[in-house]
Amino acid sequence: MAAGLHQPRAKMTSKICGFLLVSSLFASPPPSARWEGTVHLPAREIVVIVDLAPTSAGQWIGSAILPGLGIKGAPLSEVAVSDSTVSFVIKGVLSDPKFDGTLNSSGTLSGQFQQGGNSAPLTLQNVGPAQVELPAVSTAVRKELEGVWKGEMTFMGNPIHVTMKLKNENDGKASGQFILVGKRENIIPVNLITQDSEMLTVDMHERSMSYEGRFLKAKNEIDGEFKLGPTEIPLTLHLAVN
Amino acid sequence: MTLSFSRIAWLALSAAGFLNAQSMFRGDPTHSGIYAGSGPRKLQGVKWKFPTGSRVVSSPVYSGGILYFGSDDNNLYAVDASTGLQKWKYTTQGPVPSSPAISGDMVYFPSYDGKFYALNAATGRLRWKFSTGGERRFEAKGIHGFQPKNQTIADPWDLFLSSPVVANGAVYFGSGDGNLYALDAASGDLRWKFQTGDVVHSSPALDSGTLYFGSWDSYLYAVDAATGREKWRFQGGQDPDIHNQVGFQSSPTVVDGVVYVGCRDSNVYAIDAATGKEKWRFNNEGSWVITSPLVTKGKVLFATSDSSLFHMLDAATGKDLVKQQLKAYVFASPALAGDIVYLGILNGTLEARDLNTGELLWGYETEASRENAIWMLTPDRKFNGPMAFATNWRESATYGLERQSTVGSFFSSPLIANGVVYVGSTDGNLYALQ
Repeated sequence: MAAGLHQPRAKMTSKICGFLLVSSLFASPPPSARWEGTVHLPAREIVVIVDLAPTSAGQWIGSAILPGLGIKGAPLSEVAVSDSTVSFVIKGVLSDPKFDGTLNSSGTLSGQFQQGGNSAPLTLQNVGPAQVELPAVSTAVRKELEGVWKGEMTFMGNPIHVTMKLKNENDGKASGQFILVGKRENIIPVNLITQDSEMLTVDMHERSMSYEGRFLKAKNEIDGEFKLGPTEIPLTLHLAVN
Repeated sequence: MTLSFSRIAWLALSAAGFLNAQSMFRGDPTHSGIYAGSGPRKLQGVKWKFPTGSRVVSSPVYSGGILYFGSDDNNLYAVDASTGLQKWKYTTQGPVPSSPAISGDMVYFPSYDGKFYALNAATGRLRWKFSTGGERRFEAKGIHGFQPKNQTIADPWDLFLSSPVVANGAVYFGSGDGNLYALDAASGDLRWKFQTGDVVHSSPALDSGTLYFGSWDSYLYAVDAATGREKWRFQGGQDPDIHNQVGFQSSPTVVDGVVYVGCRDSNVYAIDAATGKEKWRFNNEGSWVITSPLVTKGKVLFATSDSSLFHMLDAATGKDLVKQQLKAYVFASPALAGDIVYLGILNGTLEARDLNTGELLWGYETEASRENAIWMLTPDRKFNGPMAFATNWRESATYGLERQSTVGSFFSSPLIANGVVYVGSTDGNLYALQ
């Protein structure tokens, strides 16, 4: 009888375990992963690799690789993750394609890949842990580089007065501003400043511009090149204000 | 048995040599292609693969647990060799189909944007860059019989850039502007440049103070590394009609006073390093030799393009000792670790072969080559030529090569470190095979 008394309880335990097992089998997989899939177009295939992960603050971030299209580490924006859906925009490439998908119990992420007004199905498989590529961060610049630098260059026959302002912030990173004055004044947002040894790099990719120059301490000048798209213009900057 | 001091010193120098041996194209300044330790005799599988945004033609180099290589997505990458995780990337304005050189805390490489870069190897930040006269591919009117024959067309198979060699505080590399450059490795200042008559995408080999490199002007050159003065030049074949059988695309290797080099004129040459006199030549009957020869144990190993043969020649005489028929063209140079030769093939197969017999031990096929999505391969893994090269009109060869490359071709020469084979593929991945 004891065995009989215990039997229903054992069955109940078994049913509960079975329910939990089935539930876990059909639960949506966590979206934090490296996801890979192929967009099948009539004349070509586009492989899409997406890394998705939450930050310590719980915010979802990600990056994308599109082999064959020259894209590695493109940042994701507008990343939205719910219990069963994931959407994001691949920012800054291919006119910002978008993906809206659903997490399936089969472990896939299925949805639509949208680009340039076109749309095609895309199923992403979980192929491993996420390897989100974080955007590069600015370094500090050496003390002698902090201040206001001025120089002149010529673009398409027009003189341009250049001012570069550099400053180290409390977080240990440099910030800056690039001001180009020709027929009118243009304040260019600076995205990234790095300095290694004598070399200073100022990236303004939102405007397809950059400046790279070597700091010459003896002359207190930076000798380098300003780039606007494919055009390279010699530009030497002199320290105006410390 | 006791070791003399000189023997200990020699062993220490040899060990240091091996450490340096994995820090530039084909391992060392002479381009030996021989790596310390052993590689896998049996393939277990893919340890990891690292995807990039475009084909990886560059051959990886290894230093301090890090792999450095370029991709045609314009980036140079530093990747942890054990985990396959990215340490950093540096973006240039053009593809990077060359191998970097690592020396000290610097990494050096050229890009198709016409610039030569020096980065901090730990962080990937720019230390200096140097502007060459600009990059270009080898080009000619009527090249390879393409039409229209009066149109200058770039050669789609000129897809490597010259890989630098670093020694004695200088970095040396060739350029599409026809020059071999010597720059100060610390500052990037020009020390000298040596002008040839055409594109230099062959990688210079350095031995005993002399640089050996080829140009598409049909000459192999020997130049004094300190001064940039020419010591001798050796002329390969010429092809004024369709420019198919001309030019040194292969990078030479130097062993025991002999320069071994392949040529587009279909010969492999053995040339006296001191005098520039030909010792022997081995003719491949119209088939290009793009691979750099590998010389070991008195044998010269190389593979061919159109005839798709893997040869072992007697290094002293040039006589054929072993010949193995492969399935497809070979552009990647062979690499040796222990008694196993690793060879990348353009059909998307990486092969391991026994050094003594040339017999196949194993082959790894990329997923893209197994899928063969657009029928670039036949069932026996040969190229399905007519599907890639339907016409000879204008840039059709460029498109044809692009189509062929969808199978994940191995243009990249393998590197072996710690028992793992690392190699890039046109499917955009760098593979770690073990």
